Amino acid sequence: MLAALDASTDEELLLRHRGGEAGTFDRLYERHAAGLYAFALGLTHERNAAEDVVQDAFVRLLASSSGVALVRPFLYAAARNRVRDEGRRRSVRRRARVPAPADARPAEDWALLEDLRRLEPEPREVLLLKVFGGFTFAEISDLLGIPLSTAATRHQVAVEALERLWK
Amino acid sequence: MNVEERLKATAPAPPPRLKAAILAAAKRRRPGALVPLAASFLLSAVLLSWILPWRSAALPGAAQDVERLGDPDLETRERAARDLLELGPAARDALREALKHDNPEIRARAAELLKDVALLPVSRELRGALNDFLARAPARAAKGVEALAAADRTSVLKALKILEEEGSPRAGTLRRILTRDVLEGIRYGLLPLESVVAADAPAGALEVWVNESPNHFSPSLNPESDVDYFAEGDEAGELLYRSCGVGRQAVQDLPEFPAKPGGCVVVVWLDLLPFPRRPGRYEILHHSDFRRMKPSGEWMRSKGCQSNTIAITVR
Repeated sequence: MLAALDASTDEELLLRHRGGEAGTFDRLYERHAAGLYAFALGLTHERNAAEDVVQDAFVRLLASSSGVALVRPFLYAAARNRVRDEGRRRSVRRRARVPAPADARPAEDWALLEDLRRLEPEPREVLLLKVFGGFTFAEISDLLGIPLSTAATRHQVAVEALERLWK
Repeated sequence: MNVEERLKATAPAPPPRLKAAILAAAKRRRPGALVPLAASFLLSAVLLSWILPWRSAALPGAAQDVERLGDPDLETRERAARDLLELGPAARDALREALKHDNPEIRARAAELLKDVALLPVSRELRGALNDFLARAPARAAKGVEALAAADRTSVLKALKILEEEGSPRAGTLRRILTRDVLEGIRYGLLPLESVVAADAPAGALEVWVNESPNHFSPSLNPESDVDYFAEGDEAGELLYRSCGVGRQAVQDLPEFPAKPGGCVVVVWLDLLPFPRRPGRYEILHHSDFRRMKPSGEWMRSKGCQSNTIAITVR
């Protein structure tokens, strides 16, 4: 049973989860939660926000009534959209002088997070997608709507920046 | 250890409670989301029924399909959903009725379908263009479009970018469709609601807006590169933001309106959507005009856009 689940694709697991089959969501979660959480943390820099992003992405996946062609891109695109939406709200809050949520918890247990934070947003996003999403440059190019060469360049920029920081 | 390995090795794991929280939220969302979802989808349907010329009639077949939405068998439910979508606008009345159904599964699925059905006619041309593209596009681009189309509502914008990168002649068609039809633009993310500047924008004007405002569509996560503006400390802006929710309108502070007292803001509001009036909290001061806005107003005027802004003041 477990072996059969392991051999299933994400999309099959999702379909079977919708059919009510036990254990299928667990497998999906095990496959993607850690990467998605790190991705979200790398973008938001806050544990609460990252948890919200991951939760939102999975809930959207489970609640999507139409077919999900590819689970992994769906999850990361949903997470990315959530972060962007949150970024907008914060931008407005900042302009309107509304204080940030009181329960924001920085992820002090990830020492490298501060270094990630110092990267430009676009290279950082590509790096996070590659490292934690396991996407190829072609997939990142598709996901972000950027040329493949741009994806590769942004990745290189991010890597070199971190290497400089860690020297 | 290289950069990627080091990041991977040190990244913290998600908290153990997260999985349970997701499952609980997913469970809550199905019945719990019915009220707001049904309300918003009904609103969409009502608005579209007002905008679009056709009217639907409840069909016996549609009512049967609605019942099948609650079938214990997943395949049957999915088939019923497909059949209802096939019926298109004709299924609308049956779906509206289904929002009051005893079965929460039927209510939830009907709410989703109502949204899809409502938007079906306006998206037909776009879908045609996309399908045409998919039939001709190189494998990588086609795969990307499919993945993105399933991923989020900005998918067609991304598809458009891919088309343009591929040099496809369909890119122009798709862009024209998206920029001519505001509903399409909103539906597919080319025009997020907050960046729509004129519901009655003439063909091509929004395209120029897109080109001149790249930050709207940039993949950048930099929150500073956003399009929502409030006068700093503007109570009206904040009230409006909280009342309407961000992403529903563009709010711009204008030098010709006093930020205080009265907290006046100007709202660029999409005419297709009703402005959520809250008596006693604020009032509509007067309709304004893009021509008073600088510099975007001058640009809009040069494109022949009509006014659809309103000024609001807090009581």
